[in-house]
Amino acid sequence: MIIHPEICVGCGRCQPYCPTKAIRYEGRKSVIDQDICYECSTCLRAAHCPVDAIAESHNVYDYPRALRRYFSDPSARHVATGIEGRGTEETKSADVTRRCGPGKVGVAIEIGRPNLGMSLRDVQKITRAIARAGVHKIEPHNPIHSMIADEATGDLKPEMLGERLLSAIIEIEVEREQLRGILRTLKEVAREVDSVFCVDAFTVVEPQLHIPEEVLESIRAEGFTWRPNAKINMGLGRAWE
Amino acid sequence: MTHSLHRSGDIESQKKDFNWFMYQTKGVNDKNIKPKALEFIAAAEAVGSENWGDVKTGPITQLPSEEIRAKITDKSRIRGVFTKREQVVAFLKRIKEKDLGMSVVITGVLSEVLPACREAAVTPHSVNYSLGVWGRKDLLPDDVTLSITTMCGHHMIPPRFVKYVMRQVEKGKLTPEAGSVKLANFCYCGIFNQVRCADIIRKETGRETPPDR
Repeated sequence: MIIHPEICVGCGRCQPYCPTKAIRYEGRKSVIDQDICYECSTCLRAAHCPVDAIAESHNVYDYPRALRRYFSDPSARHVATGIEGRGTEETKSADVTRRCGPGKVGVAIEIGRPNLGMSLRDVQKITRAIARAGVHKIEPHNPIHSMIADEATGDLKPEMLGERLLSAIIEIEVEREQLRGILRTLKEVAREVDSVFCVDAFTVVEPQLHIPEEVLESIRAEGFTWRPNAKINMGLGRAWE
Repeated sequence: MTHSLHRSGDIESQKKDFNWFMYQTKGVNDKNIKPKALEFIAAAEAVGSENWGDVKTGPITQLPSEEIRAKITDKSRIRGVFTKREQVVAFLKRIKEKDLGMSVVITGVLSEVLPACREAAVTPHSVNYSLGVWGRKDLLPDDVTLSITTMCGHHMIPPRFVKYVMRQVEKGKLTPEAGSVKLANFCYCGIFNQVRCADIIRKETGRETPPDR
């Protein structure tokens, strides 16, 4: 995003609307720091500039800068997947897709959330750590999958590493017995990442609303705790006839 | 990805915070979804969904519901908010009876949602647990601000704007309700719980809404 200096009247009204504090005064005009801006377009959409000085950057859809828009503006569709947003439907439609069935656990690492955003270098720290832990398959419909240069090492495509995103999600599927190792890896890499990430663990529910004890035990054993709130798929979906 | 499982804040406050979602599955049941989406919206409105929206258009806090309905396409994502367990039960019963075949997700405190499932005679397929936040937590905003910003899963709500709204409420320039709607409008999807947000603002600022506003 940019602010046209010849139009800006310097009222500063747009500044608190930026999720990443990229808008600041330079002299008596508001300017957007292009290194920090995620191209989320919140300033354009929500700030209602009184003189319409806010506009899209000319290079917003140039690769690799376009990644900022695809991952940071929820209304943008990612060109690699055709999926709006940053991840996949994951647990939300698992009753239809049968993704992550019995014996498996889905793990999602939501990097940059809450609130901080991150560099793709931080994403690479995690993809590399996961690869070292023996998991080389990122969910194929997740945008991060197409950004991996080397599945063996977890390296991202090098030209992307300078980009910053509001958030991204790494989604993997592991056998239940692998869960402890992955959680341990995430605890370790948390010390290297210069942002935050949220961890999700997704499992099928067994009869009588029973959560598989093996999954819960792995979570406890690695010093993780699950929060009281969770996302629950109600099992009402199906493929249409 | 709505991130709704990672909502934070006081547990009693979170017990008044549920999200409902309708999901179509790419390549499976994602064609001509509008009639089914309208059924979901009707069921949610019938039980008093406080907010709902479509990520492609916006939330009802910002736009007329007729406009959001009219713009539904096969790319739409329909979801919203409840503030009571009874609403979840009634919604699930209606949707189950309609047998629309779309995936349904409810996010909320497990001790509230699981009994609601039993009451509605719905058997969940899967659960997605939040295992918390890791990394540079020292850089995060304070807990009260986070309890508001995490209600937008895409994190479009700037912490600075939360502070701005709090100051406006403290000065008496905004009511807690008006401030919470301003914050809700950042969230494209309609999953921001403006009722809970107003409660948080009220508690934090000590400001009640004057009876004439």
